[in-house]
Amino acid sequence: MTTNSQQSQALVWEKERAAAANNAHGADNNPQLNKDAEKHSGPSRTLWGDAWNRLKQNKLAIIAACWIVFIVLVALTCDLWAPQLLGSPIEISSADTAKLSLLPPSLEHPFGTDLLGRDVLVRIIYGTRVSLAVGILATAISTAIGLVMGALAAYYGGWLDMIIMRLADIFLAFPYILFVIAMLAVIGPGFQNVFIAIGILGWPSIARVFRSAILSVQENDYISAARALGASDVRIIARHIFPNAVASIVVYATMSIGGAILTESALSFIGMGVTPPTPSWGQMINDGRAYLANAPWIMLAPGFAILSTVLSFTLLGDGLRDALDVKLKDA
Amino acid sequence: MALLKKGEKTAESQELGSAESYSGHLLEVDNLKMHFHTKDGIVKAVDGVSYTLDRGETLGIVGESGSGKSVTAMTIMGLIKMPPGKIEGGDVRYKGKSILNLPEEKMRKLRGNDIAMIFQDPMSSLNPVYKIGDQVGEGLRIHKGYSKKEAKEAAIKLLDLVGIPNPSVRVNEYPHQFSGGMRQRVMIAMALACNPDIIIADEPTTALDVTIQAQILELMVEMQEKNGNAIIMITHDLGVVANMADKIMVMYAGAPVEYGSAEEIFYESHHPYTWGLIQSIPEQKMDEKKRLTPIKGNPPSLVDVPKGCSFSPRCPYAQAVCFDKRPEALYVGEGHYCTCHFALDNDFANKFRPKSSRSGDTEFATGEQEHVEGRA
Amino acid sequence: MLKYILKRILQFIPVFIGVTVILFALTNIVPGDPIKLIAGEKSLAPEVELQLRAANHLIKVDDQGLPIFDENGNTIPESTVAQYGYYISDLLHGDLGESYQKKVPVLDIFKDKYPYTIRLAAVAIVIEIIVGIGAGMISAIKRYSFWDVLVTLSTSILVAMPAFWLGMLLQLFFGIKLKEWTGGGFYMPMSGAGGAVSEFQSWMHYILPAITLASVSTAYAARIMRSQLLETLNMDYIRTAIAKGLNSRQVILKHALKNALIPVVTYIGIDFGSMLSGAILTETVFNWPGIGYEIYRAITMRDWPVVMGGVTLVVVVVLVISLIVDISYAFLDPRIRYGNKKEN
Repeated sequence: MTTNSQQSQALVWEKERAAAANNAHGADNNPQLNKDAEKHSGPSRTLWGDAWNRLKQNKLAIIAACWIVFIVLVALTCDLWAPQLLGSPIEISSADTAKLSLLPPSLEHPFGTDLLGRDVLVRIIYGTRVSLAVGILATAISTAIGLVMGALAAYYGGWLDMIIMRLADIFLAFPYILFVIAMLAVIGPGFQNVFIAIGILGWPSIARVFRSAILSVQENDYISAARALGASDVRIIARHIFPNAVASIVVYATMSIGGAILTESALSFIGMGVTPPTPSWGQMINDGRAYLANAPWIMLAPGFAILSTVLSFTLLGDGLRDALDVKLKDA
Repeated sequence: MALLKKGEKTAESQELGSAESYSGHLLEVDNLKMHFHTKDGIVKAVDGVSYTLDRGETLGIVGESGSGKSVTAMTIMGLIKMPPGKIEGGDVRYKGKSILNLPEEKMRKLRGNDIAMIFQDPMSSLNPVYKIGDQVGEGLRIHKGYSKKEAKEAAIKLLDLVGIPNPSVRVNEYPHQFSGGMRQRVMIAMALACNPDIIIADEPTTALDVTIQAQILELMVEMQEKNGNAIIMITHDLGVVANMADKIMVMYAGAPVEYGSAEEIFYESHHPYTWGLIQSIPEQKMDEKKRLTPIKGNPPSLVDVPKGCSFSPRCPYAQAVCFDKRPEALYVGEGHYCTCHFALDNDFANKFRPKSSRSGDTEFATGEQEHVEGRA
Repeated sequence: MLKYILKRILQFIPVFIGVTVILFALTNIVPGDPIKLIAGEKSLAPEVELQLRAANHLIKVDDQGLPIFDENGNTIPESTVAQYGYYISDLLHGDLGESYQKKVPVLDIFKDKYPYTIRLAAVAIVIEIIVGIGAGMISAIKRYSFWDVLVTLSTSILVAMPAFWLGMLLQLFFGIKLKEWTGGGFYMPMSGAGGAVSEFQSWMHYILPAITLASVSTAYAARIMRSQLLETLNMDYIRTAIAKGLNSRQVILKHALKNALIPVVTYIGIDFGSMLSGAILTETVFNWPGIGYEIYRAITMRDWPVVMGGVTLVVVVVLVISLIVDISYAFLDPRIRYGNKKEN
């Protein structure tokens, strides 16, 4: 949410990894021990097979993944069942409004109703659509831009690298949330603009991750070999470099979906995000502000929805990072 | 407060027996076993190490990396984290009293005060954010109750002693302002601060240039002569201890394979591994065509050590018995033992012992000679 | 050290230019017509529009600030570079434009508000320093203990939680449910205007907003502190210190902490800047009469010049603070203070 959060997150990862690696074998400075540890870590499979085996043992990551799969299913299918069960998420006839306004949680309305008599649960269910769509689309945009920028910077180096990295510095110097607000002030609020703004402004971090991932594999002999065989630059990047850097991108993208969801909720909360009446979690929390004393359920449930979803993406990202053994340096 | 500390210290010394009153060995390591319990199995880093050390004596512990020589030293100092480390047997006695199970508080009074350690990498072993003087004088402040001012004065004297020019200025500088050799001198000054009985030097010259290496070794010998402390010199390079050690222990895969006086190790060694080490010492006067003979293969995994002799997979003379049965330590002379099935077979030793330039006449003696001149 | 400071200032210049170019581009080029940004959805009378164009340096003007016309009676557009020149000059003079709705300079609007934001951020920083560093230390020293798990867990949750929602939870719990017990001191006006400025004099009113503002940063500070301390405790010089006979308290407090704190302090320093930007959410929740709340109000009223002006103001302050923190880093680390540390 703040400027430094992504950078500091990466810093924390890196240090924790280093500390864990150093501590794994006690205070010993004995290289023999580490060699043994590698030798005994079981038969080696493919990168992804290995990773899957390790991920399976991480209970938190598996719970997080289940929750993500669940809300994705909810988002995809909610049209089929949610309004029938709980009523419209958008509009309630005026006759019902008076009757249903600000009802506390009950069997009929598990999370209560809001001022306009709309069921809070059904609005949360529809809110998954906005949150997931913004999270995924914004991450897709920032990843796409970041990959191109990172590849150009790392592969060609020199002045191009310098310009792109300086540009990334400038973007990162900008307080992120204010940057998005400024951009939305220009292009206007709304669902589409929100994910475009979050996506466009999020590229520098992924560009840095990809750049350092490329730089670390570029040294390898097989890259020189491919070059010697006359492979084109695009081919080398696509066939040789990208598959090796893909692990760190997957980890980073997973985490940034959570970040984008959080940013969207903040934007919707201050009225710069998705425009009403489309339900969005952040906006629902803002709706609940006026009725905090009388109807706290309006803001409670959407907050838990944001928390659990963002936490799930973070935990899954953490799990993937450990499973894929990704070092996120210089991110 | 300071007085009280001094009083406590005296009581402590009496309890452990002072150097004057105790007549036995200064340090006895008796069949020490330190194993690490990792999720990949038990790593037998130190598996039955014994030696004794007297005042003013220098013991060289030689072996490849991973042979357990550093772990032995760290165990004596109580620097091994437990778990994963676990002492599986044996004892370490300082002035006749076991220090393995000493409570942390008493162990602390020993560290730096009675037994000090010099570490391998002087670049990373000094705290980058504290002045050199503070770090050198710190031991005196905690063990001897020196005031800040006294400690600084003592630090200046110590820096001067270890040959750092302009010590009254450099005492206020930070580690990054010192060169590698100078930092190792600082480490030595730090170890000497409380005038300890034993200094354990863990590869003190490995990270340094060759020319600096000689200077540092010379300095250590010089300091030993002045202060009479005992030195345990841990190294992977037999050449390093050639000129200074009284006794040498050769370690392999967590256990000693040969132990004896420096002369015995260099001229009358009985273990093929020792021969290998001798042959891998580069020799200045060596004929250029003559190549160094490396020991083939890698040290064994410490998780599953070979069933028989741990050196058998790499030993060029290994027989069936070597792969089958673990050799015992056999005494080939007074205080000279060797863990090889053929240790007592003099024909075997005479036949295969390398005729290295050291085995003949001059090298060892010449080195000593140069050394004495250098000191004069 | 002078070299280091100069280098940092030289590095700052392109970043400052870059950031202002982006802000300038956002206000002047992207929408195609900045007058639309100022006017919002309303349509303008031609004379008003002409005046605005002249005042915003979109067209060439004479000494009196009146538009110059070419032979066909059309206005002459100002070049983009010249526009940027005017923009920077205005910015350095503190001219952030004018609120279209209130008809007052943007800077005047924020002038009365910023002390509230700064004060709130200052309290939040104090919380961050005490709680963040403390929790990180406990968690590193008592690694794998109950406290470590608690710190790791709660920081993960705090980071994944919208800060504005946390603020409302605190209001709900301390302000409403425990109203009797807290004497209503934590209760804030829930909606509408922020209330009279005098309402916010009591120190009690700082507690909940400051906790909210500090929450995410404190979580990160704790995690950085933890990982830094764990890393430092694995350093060779820590082993040296133990071998010297220091007890674990002395080792941690004297040898480890100072090294581990350097990056944490830097993070917290830079974080003061991001707190100013994070204030927009916290101040909205608590109706805190600071810059952030004013930006929020401007958003709800679609008063874009005020939004952009507020954003610009905070961005410039954040940049300057991060420069100051970078430079003061030199005083913390002797390796920089006495030269020869390699730059990252």
